[in-house]
Amino acid sequence: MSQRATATPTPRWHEVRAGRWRVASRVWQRFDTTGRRPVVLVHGLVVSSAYHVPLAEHLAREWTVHAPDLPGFGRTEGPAEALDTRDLARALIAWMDARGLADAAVVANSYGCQVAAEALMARPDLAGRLVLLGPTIDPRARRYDEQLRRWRREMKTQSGSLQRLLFRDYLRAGLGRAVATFRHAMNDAIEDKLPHLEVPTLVIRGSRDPIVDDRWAEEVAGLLPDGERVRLPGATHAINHEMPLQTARVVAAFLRRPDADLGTAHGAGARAA
Amino acid sequence: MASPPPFVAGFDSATAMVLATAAYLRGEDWPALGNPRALEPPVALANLLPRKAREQLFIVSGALETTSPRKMGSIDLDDIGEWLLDEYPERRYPAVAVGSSSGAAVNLNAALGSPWLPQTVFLPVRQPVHPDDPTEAMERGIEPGRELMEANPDWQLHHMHDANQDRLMVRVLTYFRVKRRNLGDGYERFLADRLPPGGTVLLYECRTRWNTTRIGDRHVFQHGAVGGATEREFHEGSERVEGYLERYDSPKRRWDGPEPDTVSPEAEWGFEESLRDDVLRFARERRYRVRRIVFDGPDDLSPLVADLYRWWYRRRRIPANRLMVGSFVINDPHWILRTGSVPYWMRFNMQPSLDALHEFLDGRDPFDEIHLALFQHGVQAVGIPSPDDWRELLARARTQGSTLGADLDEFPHDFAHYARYHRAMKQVPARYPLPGPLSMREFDEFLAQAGPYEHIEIEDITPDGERQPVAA
Repeated sequence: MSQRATATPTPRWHEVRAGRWRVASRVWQRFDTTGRRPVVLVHGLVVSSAYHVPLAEHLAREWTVHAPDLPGFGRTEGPAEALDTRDLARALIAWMDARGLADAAVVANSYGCQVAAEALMARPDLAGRLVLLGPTIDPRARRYDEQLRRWRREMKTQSGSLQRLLFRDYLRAGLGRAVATFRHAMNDAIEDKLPHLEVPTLVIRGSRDPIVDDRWAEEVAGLLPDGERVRLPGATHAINHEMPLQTARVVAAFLRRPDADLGTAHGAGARAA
Repeated sequence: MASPPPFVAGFDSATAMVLATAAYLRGEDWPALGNPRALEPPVALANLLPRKAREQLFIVSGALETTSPRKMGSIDLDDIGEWLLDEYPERRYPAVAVGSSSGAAVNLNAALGSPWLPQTVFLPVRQPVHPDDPTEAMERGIEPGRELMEANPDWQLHHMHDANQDRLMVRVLTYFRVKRRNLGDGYERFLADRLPPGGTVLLYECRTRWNTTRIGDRHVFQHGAVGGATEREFHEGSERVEGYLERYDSPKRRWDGPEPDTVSPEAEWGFEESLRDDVLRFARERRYRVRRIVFDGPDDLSPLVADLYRWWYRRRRIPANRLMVGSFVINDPHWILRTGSVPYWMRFNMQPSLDALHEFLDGRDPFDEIHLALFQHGVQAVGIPSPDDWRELLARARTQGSTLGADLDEFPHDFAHYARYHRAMKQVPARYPLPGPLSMREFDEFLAQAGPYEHIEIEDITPDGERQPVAA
């Protein structure tokens, strides 16, 4: 397949009613993507789609890219009480349905991986490829003290621009929502769901990611029926923002591979009627 | 531990079965039918009262739990799901049961270590009617029923009027039983939180049905109920019914109920099938296996569960020669397992239950001991066995047959029994540790060598909807 790098389209904001919410998303719309899956970028804890922009700009040379703000984060209004993982997954499903996105390439970071796993377990038809960037939460470290320790170490790895962006997103989401969503993340066991995700999946872990260690990344790939793992040397936790070019290269290579070259029979998840 | 929503009756079979199951899963027993232990001494003295006063006491205890018909429109039945989230220990379970009520299922859930989410609950409405006038009862239920159903679109209402067994209670309250038509947010949340993907949903489906009168889209009236009298006797009368009404000085000699025009799941026990579709949808989303356990009547499960316990005790090298008979809501899996007893559950305390128990004993190796708990409902109803009939049952034990603190001469007015059964269970000598839950694989192993059972069908449905019959 000859992939000629072309210009990146200018992102636009899009809003649509999805279930109870009006979900805002950034979209890099291309008009030459016949046969290529749309890419959906799912954000992590308390951040918004803003930190996906660097990765999106690289991927948008080839794919149409959508990056939604889940309810309560970024530009999407949420309820006063923080939504739990299941409700966030439902919002993601409702938004993908409203946008007519099916058989997409879902790329998620950190807690977004938990939301994506929950959503795709219920609706396998929504994704034909899945990419997990630094998936949380390692069950061996599912303790508040340990998570806090890792998160503080992770803060030290963040660039100034990421910290500014995070600060703004935390202000928008509110401290109460941040704490409550973190609690919901802690109550969610992604390891139970991974064995039920039939979609071809790539797990990417940065070698300097303090939140996700190698052993856990390997376990995630092992639990998946059709999972493989890539280690990005020198990369941290929010690699979509911090190392977008390297991440995009690995993701693009995975997305370009024809379905026939992948492990299991693709499309095992029967489409929901 | 939370308390049930105020509109739910504590003396309801489903509530009691939830509380007994939850107590067991918390490692506790279940004394005084879930009432405060402080009430035990006064209740134990109840038998000193004359029979009429005892009846009044029973009626008052029920009346205290009623809801005003004016509040129907403000009741949110989905609060039940919230309550159950608090009631059951917060942990993850290998299996969770959903569906019809059955005391035998309570003992099966205890063995499998699974909580149970009832489809049907009882909502007593403060509204007196004459027990022998079903038509008036139906008419007085129309307006409150309409308000309740408008406020709760996911539920259906079975207004039940049983002048035979509930003779005392219907004087002060109207029996509204409501059934979930789907899982609803509360039950979905319970399953999502407590049952990991790959787990099993046990779906209890009771096939008991009844001829009813349709009042609204989701509202039917049921004249009569499963028990000593047959359905035909409710609709057409009989000599037994005449004698009964004469005994109770009723101006009537038969019941003139509204004409039935439809068949519905029986109010208290029957399974409304629309719930199954929703369970299967949710199971596909959460990758659960669904095991349907389908039975004709709620006590048709009793022989299977008794045999399962016997098999399990033998496997644990515990003598399995002691039978503990529970009836209606008197059932405590905690003491059944602590005393190494084989549980047999009777649906109520009427002749059909007794006949089924005899039939069960006919087909089994004899038990050395039989301990009997006997529900007391205070009515000399149609189809009630005599004290001697119960003595005859107890005589089938090889060494010892006794009641669990019930005085058979006072049956069915021995309300003191509710205060005594717990102590009597504790006095059964022998103590075994509470076992870990049986795995689904062990349950399958038992079923493979046990079946087939009359009136029971079991099948598994994979998350993608493939159906596999299971031996039973």
